[in-house]
Amino acid sequence: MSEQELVTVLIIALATALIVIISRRLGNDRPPLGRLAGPFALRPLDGLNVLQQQAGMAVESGRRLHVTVGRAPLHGPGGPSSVAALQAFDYLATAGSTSGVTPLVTVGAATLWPAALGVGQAAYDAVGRGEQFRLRDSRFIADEGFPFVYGAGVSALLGLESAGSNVGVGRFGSELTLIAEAARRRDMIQVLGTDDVTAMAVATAYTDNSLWGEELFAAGAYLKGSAVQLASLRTQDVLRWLLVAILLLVALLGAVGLL
Amino acid sequence: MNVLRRGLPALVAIVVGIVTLFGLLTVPPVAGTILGWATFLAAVALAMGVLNLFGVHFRRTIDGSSYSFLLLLSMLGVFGLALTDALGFTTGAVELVFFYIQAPLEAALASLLVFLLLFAGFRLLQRERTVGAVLFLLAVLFFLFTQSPLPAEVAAVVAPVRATVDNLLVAAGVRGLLLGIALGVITLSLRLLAGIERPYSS
Repeated sequence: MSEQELVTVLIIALATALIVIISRRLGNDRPPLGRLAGPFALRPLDGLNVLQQQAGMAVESGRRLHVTVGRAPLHGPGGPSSVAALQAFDYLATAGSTSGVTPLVTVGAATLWPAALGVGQAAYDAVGRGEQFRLRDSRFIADEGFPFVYGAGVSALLGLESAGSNVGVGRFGSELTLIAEAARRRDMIQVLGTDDVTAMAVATAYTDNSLWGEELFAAGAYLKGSAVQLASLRTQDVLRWLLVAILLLVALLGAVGLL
Repeated sequence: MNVLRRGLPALVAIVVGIVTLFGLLTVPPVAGTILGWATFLAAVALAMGVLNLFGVHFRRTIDGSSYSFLLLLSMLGVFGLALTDALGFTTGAVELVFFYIQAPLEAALASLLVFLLLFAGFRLLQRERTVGAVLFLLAVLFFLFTQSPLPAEVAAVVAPVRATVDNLLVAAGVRGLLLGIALGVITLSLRLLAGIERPYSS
């Protein structure tokens, strides 16, 4: 086993141990929100709070919710961001299935289309309304190699469908500008979340409800929120502080000539 | 039956995930085989996606959408050219379509993004007059200016400033974000491998 692989195994073991310890300390309680609410408290994530309200707002306005889950294939390096995006869509489809306002989901990678279709169908089947989620509620726009075709396709669709809100979560590039601009022109409420640095800048410019990097990966756990899931989010925060401490220590040791 | 329906996909996903992870660390050919299956399934998914696109626009064409009709025509045209290429009647026809139609259109769209983002920066400043909004707009203007063709004397002054901003501020910020993303990916992957989150079977 190489040095790099050993570090990988150690990080996985450390993260697993922390999740087990924190979830045992929490028991079945949901950790409190807020920076000052104790050692196991979670950071409030404004973008995800707004995302939670979207299904309800779709019912009130009578206009559909549009969800686009990016263009990272599930079997590629961007797979985790697509999984996180599908989890956000799962939450919104479940909320939509009980209200009767079916969300429209668009994808920019081939593997995401059957996955999104499956997630939407399962959410509707669970409440006995399987026939209400139709094949055309999940749309393949373009393959991952054609970002601008995807961006232009989604922005054109926003004009054709009477969508009231736009949720863009997953892996995007600069083509997110086309989608966000089309939604802005139609006065849609937007939630944009991505793990791409360029797309993060776009999201910041277009909406206050943005999810940056790690916040996107927290979506499934934060929205559904069992104790173990939330313990893993707290683990993420603990690991980040640990990493910051290691970086500072290494920098300090380097500065005094010990490394 | 319901237990089987919910449990079986989860079991398969967990076992395949763990085997792939440990395969990557210990027996790479095993992981390679599983990833090969995934690539094959991706090709099947692409065919399904294209059929979905065709179906949606076929319905819209029947409803009278001329744009959808044009899209169908283009799809069938490129498919026809791919066939004639494969049968040897034409050579490189699909590449020509991409080179003369697809690439210039994508380039035109990409060039629009700079202006859209600049205007978005101004709107952000109108919406909220915060330090972050001012910094965002200044950063857009700074990079737009420094990437423009400048007189040699100005470029000589600007280049080191740009390099410092790139290497210090931008690189540090991006690395911080990437480290956060890596931690997010690790904890999400652990939740998936443990079957705590199941996006494949709600």
